Amino acid sequence: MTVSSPGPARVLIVEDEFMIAMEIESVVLDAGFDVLGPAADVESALALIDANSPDIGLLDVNLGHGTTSTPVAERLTEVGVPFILCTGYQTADLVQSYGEGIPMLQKPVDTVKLVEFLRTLAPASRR
Amino acid sequence: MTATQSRLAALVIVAITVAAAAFAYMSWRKSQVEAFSATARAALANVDLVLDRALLTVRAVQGYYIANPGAKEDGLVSFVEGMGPVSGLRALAFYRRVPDAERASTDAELIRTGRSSIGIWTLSDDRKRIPAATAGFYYPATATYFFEGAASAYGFDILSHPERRFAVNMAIQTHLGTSTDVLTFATSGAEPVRGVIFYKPVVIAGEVIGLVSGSIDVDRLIQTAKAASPDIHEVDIEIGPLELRGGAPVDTPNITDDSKPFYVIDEQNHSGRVWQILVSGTPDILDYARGYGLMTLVLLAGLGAAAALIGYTTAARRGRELQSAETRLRRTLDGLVPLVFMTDPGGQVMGANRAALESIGSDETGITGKPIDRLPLWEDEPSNRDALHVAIARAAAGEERRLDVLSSETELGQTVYDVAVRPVATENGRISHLVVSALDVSERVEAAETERLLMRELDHRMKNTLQVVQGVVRRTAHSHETVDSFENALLGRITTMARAHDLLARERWLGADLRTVVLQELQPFEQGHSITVTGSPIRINPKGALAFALAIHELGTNAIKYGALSVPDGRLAIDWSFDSDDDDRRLVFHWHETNGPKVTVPERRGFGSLLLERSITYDLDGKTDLEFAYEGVTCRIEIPWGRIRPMTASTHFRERLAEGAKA
Repeated sequence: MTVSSPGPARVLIVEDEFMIAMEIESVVLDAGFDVLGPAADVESALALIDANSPDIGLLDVNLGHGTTSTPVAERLTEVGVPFILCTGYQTADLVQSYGEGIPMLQKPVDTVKLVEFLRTLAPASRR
Repeated sequence: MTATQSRLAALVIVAITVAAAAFAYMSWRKSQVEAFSATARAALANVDLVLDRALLTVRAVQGYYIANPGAKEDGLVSFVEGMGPVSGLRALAFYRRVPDAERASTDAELIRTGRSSIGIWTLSDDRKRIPAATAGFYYPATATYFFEGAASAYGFDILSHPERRFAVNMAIQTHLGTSTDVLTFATSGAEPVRGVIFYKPVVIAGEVIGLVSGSIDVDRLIQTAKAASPDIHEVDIEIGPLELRGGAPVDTPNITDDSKPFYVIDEQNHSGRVWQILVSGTPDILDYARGYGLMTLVLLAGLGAAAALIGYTTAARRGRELQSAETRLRRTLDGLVPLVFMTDPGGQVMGANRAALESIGSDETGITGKPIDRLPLWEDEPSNRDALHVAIARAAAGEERRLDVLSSETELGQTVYDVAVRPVATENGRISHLVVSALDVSERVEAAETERLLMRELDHRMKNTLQVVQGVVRRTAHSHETVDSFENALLGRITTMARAHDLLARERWLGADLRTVVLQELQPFEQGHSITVTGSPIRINPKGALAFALAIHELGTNAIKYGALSVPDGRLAIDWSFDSDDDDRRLVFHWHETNGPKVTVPERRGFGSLLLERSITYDLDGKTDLEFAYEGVTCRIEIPWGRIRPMTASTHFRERLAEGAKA
């Protein structure tokens, strides 16, 4: 676990649709967390991870143009940051490979459930 | 010429040939008959000549004795020799009438002169000389002249001879010239000589004092006739019975009958007998050969011509049929929509149909011998080469292959071909060549791809839209104090999204025209305001279309509440263009309000301006520059073209093909 500054836990949001990103951002903020991003693509997401050490990842599986969040999920696993997957449909490989033990949210996202997951995953001191 | 025509022509030729051959034969035959007829007449003229001279000589001697009744033998000799030699006449003789009273003295005289040892004589049945029997009178030969050597005939009693008696008697009784049948001469030596004897009575004062005889050698006459031509095989002389009806016999003109081919009969009258001289013969074998040869030649030539005509027309027809079958096949191939190539088992092009040549823009010689996977049609796509190469190798081993091939890129875009490679085997099973057909299935592929995209996009959109609506409701609720303004703002945003979706659905989610998006979103705000839109139509992708739709909705909502569209004189100008022609060019959009109320910068940033900014910047890498200037609100939007460039179904397909080739 990385040494983090005191204050609310930081949630990295990766979502390509800006309206959804905005919605999730506001839900996360309203729940008392800080938001990193939102990032629309893999590159900016990876850049945010490197620069800001998020506490939790909230990843949309499909990022459009045929790309997925797989590289982001891999990086987060590397650095030991837990994450939540959001998906519109079940077919993605990512869902299959990370399916067990990873919290999953179906779109449209149930905000209550989202906040519950975030509280579960956030470091105890910063819930 | 059709087969029937040529057969008819051949038939006509055959008919003409047969007629010509018959005509040739008949002409030959006729000329032969005419030639023979002329030959026979020449032979007959020979006979006439000899016979006439002989008979005239006999008559002359008759005249001599009438003029000199007591002439001796030497008188006759000098008379005849004075006339010169006469061929055909064997002998001349004078028989003096001797009454029985003078028999003894005559016998004595004959014996004395040594002319006949037995006096007046005759021939016995066995042709021996014996003394003549006693009769009233005798006609012994007293003077003779032989043109050719012969036994002496002095003393021979002509009247005593059974074969000659009749003619002699008739001459004596009628005082007219007569002749015998054909007989053997009494004067013949060892070889019997056949002939005819003419008798002419010597009459003085109504009394017959003797007879003149002339012997004509018939065999000699026949020989004379035959000598006229080798074509004459036979000459025969027939002499009819003595007929002395109604007085003197008339020597009628010759009557020649040559109506039968190669058989001529001449009829003539001599001293009361009808002579028939028959001349017959045939052309020699060589002439016949010539005649038949001519006929055969004509026949052969004609039949040959007919056979040649039929042969030629048959061959010509076969040739035409073969050629027309080839032409038909070629036209059929050229009429096909798919591209058709023929290659050898190694994939070298041997030929192509018109569609193929037109697609390549080359003539047949331009591509002959090239490997099929190196045609300019598709050689730019590296994945094609391997795929085609494998397909050719498999087909050469007898397998049918089918594959999708993407064409090289042209200004018309790329074409997807459904390519079939089929081996063509000869009868013995060897693969002689391959047929490669390529059908342009771009439209079908695009349609299928569009459908797939549409389904995926719809699923994605629906779920995202529900999520978005959820968000919009929440955020709109946060920022509006009254229920009315909340409702208006919420409906406006949801309607904007619905309209944008509607527009995208019409374009099958492949993109939309920016101008159409702008005009559609401005519609609710127009209401008699002066709005100018000068940007030209540009197709952009669905994400771009949605972003612009929302941006214009938010800008328009602000303008109608506080900006230029809130007063009648307010003006709005909208324009867009590219900043360059490069590949990384950017689309620059301008929103420019004028003539509105004085603008004040809002105290707090609302959800609307956040939406505007986020819609353009988020995931589109755009920039928004919203300025609340004193004269009116302006907004500048800049987006990299690469982010909003529309995709086509074939681009999707191409991406998938490329992935497939990698895999």
